[in-house]
Amino acid sequence: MVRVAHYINQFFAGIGGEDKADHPFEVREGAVGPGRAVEMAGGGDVEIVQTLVCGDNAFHADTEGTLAAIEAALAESKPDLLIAGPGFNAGRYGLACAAVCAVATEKLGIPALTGVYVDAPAVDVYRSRVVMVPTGDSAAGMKDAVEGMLRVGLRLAAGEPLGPAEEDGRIPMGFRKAVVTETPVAARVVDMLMAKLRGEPFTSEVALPEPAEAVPPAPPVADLSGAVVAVVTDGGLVPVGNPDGIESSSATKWARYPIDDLVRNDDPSFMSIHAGYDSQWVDADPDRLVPIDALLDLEAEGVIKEAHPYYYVTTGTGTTVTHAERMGEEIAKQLISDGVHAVLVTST
Amino acid sequence: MRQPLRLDVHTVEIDQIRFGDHTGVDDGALVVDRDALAALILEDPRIAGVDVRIAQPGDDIRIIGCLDAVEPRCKVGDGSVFPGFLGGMETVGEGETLRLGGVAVLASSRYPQPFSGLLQAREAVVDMRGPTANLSPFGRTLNLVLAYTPNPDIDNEDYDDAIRRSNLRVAEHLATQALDAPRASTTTFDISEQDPDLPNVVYFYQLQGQGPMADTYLYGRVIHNLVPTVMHPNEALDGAIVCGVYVYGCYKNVTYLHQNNPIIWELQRRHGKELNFAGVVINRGHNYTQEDKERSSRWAAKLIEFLEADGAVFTAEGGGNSAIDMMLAVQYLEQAGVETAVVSSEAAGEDGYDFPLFYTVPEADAIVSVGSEDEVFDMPEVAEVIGGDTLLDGQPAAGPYRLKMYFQFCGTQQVGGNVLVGRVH
Repeated sequence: MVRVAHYINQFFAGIGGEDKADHPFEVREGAVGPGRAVEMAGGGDVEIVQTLVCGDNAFHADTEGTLAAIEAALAESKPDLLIAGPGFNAGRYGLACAAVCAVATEKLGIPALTGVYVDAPAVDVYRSRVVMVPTGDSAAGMKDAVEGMLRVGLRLAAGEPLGPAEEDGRIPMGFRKAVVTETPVAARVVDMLMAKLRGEPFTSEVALPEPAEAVPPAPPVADLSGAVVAVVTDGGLVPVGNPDGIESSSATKWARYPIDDLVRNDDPSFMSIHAGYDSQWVDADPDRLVPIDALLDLEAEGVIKEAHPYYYVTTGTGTTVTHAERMGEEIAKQLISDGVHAVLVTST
Repeated sequence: MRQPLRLDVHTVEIDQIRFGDHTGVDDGALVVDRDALAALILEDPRIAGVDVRIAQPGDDIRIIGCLDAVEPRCKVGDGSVFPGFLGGMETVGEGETLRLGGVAVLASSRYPQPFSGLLQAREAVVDMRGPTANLSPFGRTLNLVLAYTPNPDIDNEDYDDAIRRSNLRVAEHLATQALDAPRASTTTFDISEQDPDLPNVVYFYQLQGQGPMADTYLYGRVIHNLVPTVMHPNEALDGAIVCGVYVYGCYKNVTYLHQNNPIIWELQRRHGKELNFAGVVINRGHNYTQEDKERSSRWAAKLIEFLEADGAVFTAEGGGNSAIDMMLAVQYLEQAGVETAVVSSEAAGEDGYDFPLFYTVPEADAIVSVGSEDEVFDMPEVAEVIGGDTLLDGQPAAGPYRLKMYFQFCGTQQVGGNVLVGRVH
């Protein structure tokens, strides 16, 4: 017997419509409203042990308090599964269903899912965190919705991992993961090419991205002679021993090191830990990557006001977009707060 | 273009490897005289020792420090496989070749000198049983593992050359001991007849050429200065392409995969039925500069057009750097009206939420996935490890631990020897 907790709003609890949307949170024993359909679809293997009911306005008037109360109720009943809704195309109700699921899985480790219409607001907000089954846009689709939710929910309750969204019958959470396929790579790629040649439909296994956000070039530095200039590199130049443990590839870390050390280049000496290019010439003379020699000459000649006393470094190979964007922002903030006016970026 | 080579590949199907007092094939088993094989290998003074081991599917074994894998093959009659390494500098891909089906000679070693930067052999692991055995093609082969110990007095490149030649020599030697064994099948590779009513399909075959420990050999020479060139698919089957790429465990196209390139087998299989296999164009990946990339990819695209291609299948070797070379060629060909389909690995981050491709062009609308270098797997504890006691990062190799795809031997290679596909969850 799979023990299920069920979240619904005041309307599906039979309390009333919009006029009862302030109905406070309460816990009822057993199945209420659509919970009976859940039990029926479960064919005797599913028991709704508790129904969590909250008015849509009451939930959003005190989201934090309601979720805390729900967390406490779930912690006590320890269900095998939480089902919320289905919320169909409802705005407030769908968001509440998804928020309750997030609390169950993220705070208590209880498998949870909801059912919503694909264009419902909850999908945009919660799709990456909450398991959602697509439903119709109104309660007319209750039977199909409940059956779809239970099909996925029973697998979650049994501890099975999620499969591809399409095969599970879920709204995609958006993460990619490998699965075993029977059809060899060579057959798939030649099939795809033949479909293109014949003008037949085909589905790429990786969809093309939205065009990347364009980064406009910075305006020219108006007066170099008044500028503090720093060097930022993704070429992996670090003191020997790599004290900050910057990864050789797929970097998540950046660091900065004094250019004085680099100028002396005796102790510590420097090397590149980058896994994506042949760094022997950089190791032999780090100025080839981080041109501090030229920068100090320009400072001496008065072309620039000052070379910033640190250079900034990470490794740019196999780095995910998310980490690259984060590191770029962090480095830029540091540079700005240090009063740097201009940056030379050297890449490899 | 006239491409007259005809190659008959005879397969001696092997169902197990065992040690014995002679080397040969005995009722479907590859029997190996361990001492005699070790003595043959140790004729090269650059190799100080070799532990000859057997690792077969289902064995409670993990192999670490994997370098190259080679399928035992030899010519029937005159000539040699692996031109430029064994025998003379002859054109291969013609006549008869014998292979030991199901067997891989798998090299495992650390190097005698410390590495720095790119020029290093990184960790590469194969599990022979359990849920992680499906990550590498070599979790499914009968492996004769050669775990080498280097002569400590030589440099890494010299040692690398020694083990490469040793692997190839052993692979050919084993096959020659099976010339009289019963053959399960013969497959003919011949694209000389082209049907004017079928579309012409060319294979764009990109190889990694980046520097020592990250190089591929074409007829025994590294491809640094390669101008893209046309070759006959049969040449690859006879060992014209040898792997020297050890920098990324998951990405390498080892020699075994060049010898058995699944794209070549598939295009040959459909040749004369659905398509004309109109040839192979080799491109170097990892060209150093954008101009070099554009030059090389334009040249490769031009050759594919000269071959009157209607369509082209693309594979590459490596991550983001090589993806740029490949995708540029996709763009040039699509703009010239040649249809393309691409095999690509992914890099969607450990949680899988990142955008999975390193570099794309809008024209690349047909992409086959082989999974992500970033995915992390639970490696179970194993009873036996071949190739050492610790991984390169120092942790005990027997496990259990979590390990990125990046370190799974050929885990996301892109010529098609694997069983995983990346899907949206």
